[in-house]
Amino acid sequence: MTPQLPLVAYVDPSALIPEVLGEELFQSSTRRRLDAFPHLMSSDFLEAELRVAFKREQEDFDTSSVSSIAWIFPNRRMDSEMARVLEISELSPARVWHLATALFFSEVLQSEMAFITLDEQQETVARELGFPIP
Amino acid sequence: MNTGDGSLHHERGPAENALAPDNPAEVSDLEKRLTELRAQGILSGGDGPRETLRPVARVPGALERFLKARA
Repeated sequence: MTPQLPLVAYVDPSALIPEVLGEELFQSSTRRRLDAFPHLMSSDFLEAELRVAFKREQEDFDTSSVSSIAWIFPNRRMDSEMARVLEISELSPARVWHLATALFFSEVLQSEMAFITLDEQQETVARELGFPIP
Repeated sequence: MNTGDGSLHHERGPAENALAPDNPAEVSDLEKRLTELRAQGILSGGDGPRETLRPVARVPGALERFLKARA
């Protein structure tokens, strides 16, 4: 029996790049993963990373492209979450921030949350932290 | 869509219908919790149509460059 997926997923910007910048190689698999969840969440740092990516590719960023993503605004420091991430692996600050935000939100949500990423380093740590990876 | 009472409502898409759990109470509890988190200011937005998440350009290699830049 296939385990039931959670209804909520945290989205790393790497999972949106094929969608919004039309990377055909990854697009259909990413689309399936995103569509599997009624609720998509992320830190608004996602928008910063996407804006930088669009600038790098000399494309115009459209804010409406991320209007279906709900933004998480932690109401306290995330020092314990960052420490948990870094106990597993030394990741770059962006990777740590997204994983820490996901840990924070899954705690306050009081429900299981999946983690969608195309970043292999981050996915490895997300799996070790216990996030279901679709 | 904002219903005016602080909660959010939108038409269910195919993905939602396909993945709705057998237990409606689970969905109800989740929606209630999400509404509480919105009221606390921990969660905001996300009520735009999923259809907006579509390519605005065709940029081969963008993911590889993105991952390299954040390493």
